Amino acid sequence: MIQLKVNGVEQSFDGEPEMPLLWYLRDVLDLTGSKFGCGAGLCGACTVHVNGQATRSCLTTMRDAAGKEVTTIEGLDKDGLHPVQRVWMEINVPQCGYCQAGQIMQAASLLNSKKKPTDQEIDEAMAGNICRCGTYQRIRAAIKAAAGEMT
Amino acid sequence: MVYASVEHPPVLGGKVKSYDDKEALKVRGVHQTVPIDPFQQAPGFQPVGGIAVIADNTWAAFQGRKKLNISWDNGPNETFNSDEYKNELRATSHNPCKVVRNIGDADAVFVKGGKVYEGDYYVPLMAHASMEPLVALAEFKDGKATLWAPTQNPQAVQDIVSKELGISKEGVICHVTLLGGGFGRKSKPDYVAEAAVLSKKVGRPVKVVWTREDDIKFDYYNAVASMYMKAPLGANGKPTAWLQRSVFPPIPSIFDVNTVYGEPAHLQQGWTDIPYDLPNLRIENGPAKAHVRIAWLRSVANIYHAFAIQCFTDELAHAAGRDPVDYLLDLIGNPRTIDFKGGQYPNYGASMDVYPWETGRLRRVTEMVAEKSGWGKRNHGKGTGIGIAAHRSFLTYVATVVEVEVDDQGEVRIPRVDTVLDAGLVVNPEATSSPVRRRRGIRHKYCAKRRDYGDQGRHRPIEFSGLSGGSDCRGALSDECIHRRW
Repeated sequence: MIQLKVNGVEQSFDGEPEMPLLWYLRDVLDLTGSKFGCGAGLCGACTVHVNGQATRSCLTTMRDAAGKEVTTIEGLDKDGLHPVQRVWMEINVPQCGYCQAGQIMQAASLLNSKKKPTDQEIDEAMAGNICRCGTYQRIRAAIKAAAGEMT
Repeated sequence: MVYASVEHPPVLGGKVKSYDDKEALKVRGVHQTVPIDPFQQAPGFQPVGGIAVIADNTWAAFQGRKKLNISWDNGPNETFNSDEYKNELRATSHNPCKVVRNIGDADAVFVKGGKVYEGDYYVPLMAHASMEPLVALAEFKDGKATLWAPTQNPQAVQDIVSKELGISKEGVICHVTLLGGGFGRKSKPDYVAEAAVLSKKVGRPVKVVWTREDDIKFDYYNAVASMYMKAPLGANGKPTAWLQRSVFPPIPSIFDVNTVYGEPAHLQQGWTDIPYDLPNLRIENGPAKAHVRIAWLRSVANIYHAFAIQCFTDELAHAAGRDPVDYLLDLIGNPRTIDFKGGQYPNYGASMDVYPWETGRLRRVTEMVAEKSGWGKRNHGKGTGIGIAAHRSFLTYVATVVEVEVDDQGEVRIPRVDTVLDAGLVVNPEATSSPVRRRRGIRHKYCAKRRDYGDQGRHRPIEFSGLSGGSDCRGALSDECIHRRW
């Protein structure tokens, strides 16, 4: 039996330990905010926080998630108003929106570790999160704005 | 609800000869496997067939699928090879094809001899690659089908699902979910029909999830195309005659496999409507048989046609020793309305009276993008080049200047793109600017992935004209960027 905490709630899982965390979140817990884009850690749409670190849930097995604290987009802020989410709305970042939960989780993780990231630090931290609509310019602007709000 | 993942035939038109699912059924969470019939020619929007694995969750279905042992009959497209096909298209384009528009007598000029320039341009098959791979949920119950799917075409969902299940269209309800990108792929509901067929066979609601690999391998691709261009140059380096041949597998081949010529709706897209003011012009289209599913992707045939015409124009400008912007404007000629003289020009379904083809508007975006990009005024260092293209697509006039850098290792980087477009009356500036900005963004990311960022001053956003140095283009479109017709 695998024990883990998801969005502050204790969970136990007795299924296949090799199952990626993404599918546990989506298909078992019905937390469908984390998206499937590639299943190979190449696009970042599935990004969640594991013990506070941005992590690709499609490559993280349930065995590896055991004993960890997982935060998904649904748990980033109870009202959906984390500073990153607020500026995301103000700046109107998303187009189709599919990658955005992953982008927001990656950005929130970056701002946890670096209060005032430079453009280069933003680009490096966000390089693994692909957006097919090409919202990159607004993502960068939103991260800078959120950095201002979080000080 | 159960989850399904489908092992499709590896070649379009293939079918299952036999299969063994013993190992697949041993995977924890897998319930059963279900064969899906191959489509009847032509493919249309029918499911492509294969073996579905039904499971408790998506991952179990994926795992079960890997354990299937299937023997395939690959069908008529087994020997399709994209390199050979490319050569075939090119060979076709080097011989006389069907004339789809003609002015004057280009051949009479060609026989006079002198220096003649020729060019071959090739664009491969392109996949839509939406961020959200294809997915659909279907519930077949009491003789009716209810579907939840990210689709651009719920009416087509009704059509194909009613046919596949043998029920009336009224018995098909399609709920359209938000789309994680579509770009035209999600107007073809084969994946929705697949979910519907499976729900009927399984007797439960079924959610079909395609993998990224499925999404790329079983796309309805934008057509592969080969274009041949030919022009002799006269005084001032201007072409005295112009021949262009385009060869591509046409979209209607998904409905009739014997269709090999482009139809007016796609030949008009940047091909028969070449706006150049030339005394001798012949436009041709050659036959190509499709071996994969071909369909709409964004600007569709404009993609390869604009590429060929604008590249060839640029090469001729260099051959003539002329500035590419001046040369392009010279070829476009004076502001006028193009008269297609009874030729087949559908004008994207719009009236030619309300939406005439106006070369003055193409000139205007070309001149403006040259000015705003600092064309001819900026110094370009070693390994740096700058190019211009101008085009009318779906009634919108657009011109773009792209700066490109190539380093010693041959890595390509695009530090700056300037675009000006004239879409007529813009009702929603945000919806107009976002897709344009997208192109810049994708290139930007391309650079980022190669860890090839330079100083920040060189990473500028798409500069719609009138916008200077800002990080966004909202608001700019409504003022100066768009040349308004009204």
